[in-house]
Amino acid sequence: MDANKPAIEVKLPSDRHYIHKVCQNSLAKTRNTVIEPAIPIKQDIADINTGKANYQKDKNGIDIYTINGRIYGVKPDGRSYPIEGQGIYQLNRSSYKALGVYNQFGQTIRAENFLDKMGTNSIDRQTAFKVWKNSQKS
Amino acid sequence: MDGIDILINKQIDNAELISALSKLLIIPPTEILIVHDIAELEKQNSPYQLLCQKVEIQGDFSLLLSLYPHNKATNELTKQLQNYAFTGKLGEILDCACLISDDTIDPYQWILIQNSKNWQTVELDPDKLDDHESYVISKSLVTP
Repeated sequence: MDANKPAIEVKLPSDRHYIHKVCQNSLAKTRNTVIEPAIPIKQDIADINTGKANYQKDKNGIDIYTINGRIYGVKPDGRSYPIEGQGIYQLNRSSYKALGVYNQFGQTIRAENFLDKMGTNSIDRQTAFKVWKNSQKS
Repeated sequence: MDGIDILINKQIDNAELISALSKLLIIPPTEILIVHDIAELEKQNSPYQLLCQKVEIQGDFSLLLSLYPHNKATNELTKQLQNYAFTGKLGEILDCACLISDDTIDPYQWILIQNSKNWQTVELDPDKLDDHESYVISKSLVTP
């Protein structure tokens, strides 16, 4: 089990990965990941730190930990970020921005008007709305 | 439609930015809309092809430019925005360096574009980014 224990303490992912913290003007990558509020992420990271996660290096040399059905990347300084798994969503730039609009304006005509003016297509809008709606249940 | 987020290391006024985008994308300056806050769109009823949200940021970069091709924009415009050469040329016209997303899911790994022929993968300082929302390059990685 010690072989899976990180050399440096792994830290929680930053705010940009929590669904409720995404803003419309948040910097977005081409691919972004967000986590549902109900996911026990603190427990996941604690499990990684105690060597309970499965460890491997990916082809780019990034440390990858798999725990409780979720995969996290970890930088050399211990910063972690979610990659995929239960309660983790991968969003393209447009959906990530749309999620920020729903966070700010909710399920309203105002939100849809802003998305119209941002040129957000219906697929990206639906993806963001589904993620936002799921986070409301948590 | 897909746009792009570009960080630039210089303060640029709206007129200069519109002029550069208009020249590069070959669209009339009057068809480019610049806002600082999305709420400004509520009063906007004039047609436009490109929306640019301009937000001040901290660190090695001064501005975040979020570009959104509008529904009436062409697919060609959308394709141009995704091209590294577009960002390189924008940097050349504005005389600044630009930072854009790479294709990885790593939130700290980005592409630094100095001009239309020179770009490299860089890593942002995780502590400065996560704790202070400050965009500071910590190291260069391989050139793509």
